[in-house]
Amino acid sequence: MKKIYILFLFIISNDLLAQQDLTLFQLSGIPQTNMVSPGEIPEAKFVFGLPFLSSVNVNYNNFSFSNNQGINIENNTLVIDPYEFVNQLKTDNYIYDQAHYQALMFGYHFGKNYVQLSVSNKAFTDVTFPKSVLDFILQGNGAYLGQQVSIEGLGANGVDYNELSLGYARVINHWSVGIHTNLLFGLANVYTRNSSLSIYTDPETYDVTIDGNIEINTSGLDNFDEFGNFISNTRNFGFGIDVGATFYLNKNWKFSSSLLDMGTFFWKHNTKTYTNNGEPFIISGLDIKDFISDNTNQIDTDSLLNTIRDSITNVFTLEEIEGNYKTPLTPKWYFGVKYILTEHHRFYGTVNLQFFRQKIRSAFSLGYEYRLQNYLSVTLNYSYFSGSYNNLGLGLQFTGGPFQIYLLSDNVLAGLNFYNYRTIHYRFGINFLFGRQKSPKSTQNRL
Amino acid sequence: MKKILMLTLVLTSLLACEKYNLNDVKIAPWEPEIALPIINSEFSVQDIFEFGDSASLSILNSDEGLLGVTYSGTIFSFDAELIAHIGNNQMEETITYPNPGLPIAISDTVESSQVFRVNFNLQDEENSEIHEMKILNGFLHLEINSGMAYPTQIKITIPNAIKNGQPFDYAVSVEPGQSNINNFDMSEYVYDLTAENLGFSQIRIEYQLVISYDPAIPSGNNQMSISTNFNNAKYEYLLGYFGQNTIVQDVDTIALELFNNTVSGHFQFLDPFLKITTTNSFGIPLQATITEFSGITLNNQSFPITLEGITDSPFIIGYPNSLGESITQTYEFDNSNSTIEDVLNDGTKKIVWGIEALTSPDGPTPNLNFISHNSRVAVQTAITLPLKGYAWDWLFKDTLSIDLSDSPEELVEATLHLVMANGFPMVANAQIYMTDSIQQVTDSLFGEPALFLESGILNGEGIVDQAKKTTTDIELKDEKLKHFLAAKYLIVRIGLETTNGQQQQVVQIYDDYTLGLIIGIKGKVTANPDDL
Repeated sequence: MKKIYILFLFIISNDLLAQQDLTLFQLSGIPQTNMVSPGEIPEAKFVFGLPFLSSVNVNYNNFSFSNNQGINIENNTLVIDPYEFVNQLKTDNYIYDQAHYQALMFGYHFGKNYVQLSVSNKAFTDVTFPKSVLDFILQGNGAYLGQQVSIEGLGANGVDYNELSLGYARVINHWSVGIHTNLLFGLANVYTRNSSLSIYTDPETYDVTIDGNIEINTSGLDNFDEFGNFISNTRNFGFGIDVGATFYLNKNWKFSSSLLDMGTFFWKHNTKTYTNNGEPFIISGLDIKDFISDNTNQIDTDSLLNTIRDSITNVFTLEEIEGNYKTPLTPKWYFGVKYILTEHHRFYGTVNLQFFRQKIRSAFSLGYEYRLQNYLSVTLNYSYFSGSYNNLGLGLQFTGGPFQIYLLSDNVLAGLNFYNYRTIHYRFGINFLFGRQKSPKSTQNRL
Repeated sequence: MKKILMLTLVLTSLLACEKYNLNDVKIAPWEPEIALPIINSEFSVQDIFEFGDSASLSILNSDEGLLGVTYSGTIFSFDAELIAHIGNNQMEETITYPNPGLPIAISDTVESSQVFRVNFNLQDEENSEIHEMKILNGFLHLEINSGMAYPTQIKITIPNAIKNGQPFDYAVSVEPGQSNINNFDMSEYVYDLTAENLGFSQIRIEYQLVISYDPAIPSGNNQMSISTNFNNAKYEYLLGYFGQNTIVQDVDTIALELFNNTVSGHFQFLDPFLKITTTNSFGIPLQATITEFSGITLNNQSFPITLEGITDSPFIIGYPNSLGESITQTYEFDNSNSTIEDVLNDGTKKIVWGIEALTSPDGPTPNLNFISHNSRVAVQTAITLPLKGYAWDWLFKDTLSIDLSDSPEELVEATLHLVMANGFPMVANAQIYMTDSIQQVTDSLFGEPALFLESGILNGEGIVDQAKKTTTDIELKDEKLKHFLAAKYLIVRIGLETTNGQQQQVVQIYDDYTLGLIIGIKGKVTANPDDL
């Protein structure tokens, strides 16, 4: 179970940071739109998510390479050719995965107000790596004699946490504004706080110097043995705020914007920090005088080889420190505009920016939505994200009585042939909606 | 890093698990080129000689720092025990008590005295004349066996053995038929071995028996046996004349380890010198004769070394006049009064010698001689080779055991990277042969002997003022790599020449010269993620 969970954590988590959810942002009629646009108010009096199945999301984003890049199929086995693979990498690369499920969700709409409570588990990992690192691994330091090889930017950030979110939204004239206050309970974390390293191999002595700083924070990695205790850990507290607003200019134009995940984790439980304290790692030649026997004048080659081996092993030893630390959430900003041509036909555009370690990752989307009253929404969009222009998104929600099911993807074709795509994104869920409005048009009519 | 790569690649594939499961993901092996430092050492002249031999290195000229190697050793020595030791001198006395035949009980007295000659185990014991002995430590062992029918009191006195002004005196009662055994500490007793004009080396012991005669008791043999000997006694000193004793030193050698592993060569060490030092704390005249003093060359030829006044005739080792003193004499030899330079430059790898010594070669002296318990004679020699001269075709050969069986199997090819920073005025080339366990050559590192050491750069005065770096890359691949990793021994042949040695350019070695050695290895290895 532990291994499955860890695997799950990594697979699903490889980035909350890059959670585009471009389709979700624009798909009408499902309460989960409120997750990315807190100003959106569901079209029902009372909404209730099927526990653990109201929103299940997997998201894989690869800003670096396609899955067929350097990967071949031989005898039903994926064989990765490291040379071909590395040659096609970008200068800076990152991959992230995310998983998210809502364990509980319900919302209540009264008057111009809407409140929503949800409990979710979210996990993501983000791995960043410059091409130079893999190239160095591939070529070996012998190919870089006398050259300073930078491995700055190498890092990983992985978090698994529970979120208790209380949301409130209100209609104010042409506006609908909302806020989520999120209590976060960190379960596990790996955070590369600093990895500004460089490797230099002296062309004369072959001395290897790894200079710079590395600091890796971890929490909860020893807790997997007792899964029950792990998943219910509340000692790594955090908080976050999401805000959003929707503006209806008129019956045809709708503008939405949101700012999500502004907050911090305070990691206190089972924390370990691994650091070199700025001390360089050095592998240097040994003084042979220490290995010459006084009695025989012979070189003790066994001892010499063992010492070389030990020096290589020990050089990568980091100091382990216990101590609290904090990590930021990764803020995201959405902006969307929707043109409602008719009751059934809508066109929209969405921009998404994510702010991570002084870098901005962007995505945008253009789409069309067909809405058949409030029974059915179907949307199709074309998006750019993860450095790829090859993303066709699809969203579908069907509502019959109080029962609602939805399925959406920002890159639906990847599911048909994952091998050729850089991203996978799926979200589906089942809700129960009570006291629904007859027609989506009536929502606009409220204004 | 490899794990991160693995993780990344695996993650990218995980979501394709519908078609490919985790076990079906493989990363093809690759061959990175790894460079690793192995050795980075700097050798001073002291380091080099510390490892190469047991000789001492010294600065011969403090202004310049010119170095010399000195091979020293004791070529002849003996101590006091070899000349004289007390050993177990046994002295027996039997005293008989004639039955007085009286009808009444009386106390009767019988007195006796005996003179013993102490044997000092001298070669010339017969002619020796020991006047005085002081005991350092040891015991006088007394064993009394009574054959008397009557209780007897025995008093033993050595009137000429004095300690704190008192002679040795001992009294004991012995019952009829009983024995008495005792050891007496004789430390610090001074024996006058010539007292009472008895001669030399003599000890007189007095015995007095006081017998409680009783006519009611039938008499037996009425004899009292007394055995006296020195038990492991050591003298502190002896005074007198010790006769003529000959001490022979078997042939011995001093190895000139500078030439260890030397196969052949031409050498010219300029201004070597030899010093012989005699030290004598015996108060005895000594005459020494050098029976052999030769140099043995690399091809095992023997050349006698002539030292004027030493090897051509016996020489006298001076002696002190007073106990506790020591006399040291020094004889120095160089090119002017010896053949040392000629012999050494024939490629001498060791010096052999033999010596005999004779005590009191002219018989007794007017004054008494002496031997102290710590008297010692030593003849020491020191041969100094100033590191000044020239050499060429100096060929070394050495065999090194090696075991690289633990080397990584992933090694595909390798280049040994050798950097020598030579601060010495010499050049060297090398060939290294790999052998199997029975020392059969399997391969060689070089096609031809390779120049791996270029001469340090000399200034106008012939002094190295800048080290010269020589880089040698030795490629090991295919069969050569296999042979290298499987080698059990390396036979190293090094050819050495001082800078322009063949043109007889004189160079000197100074104390600040150094030799830098850097060894690294660069090689392609097969990285197989399955092994990560």
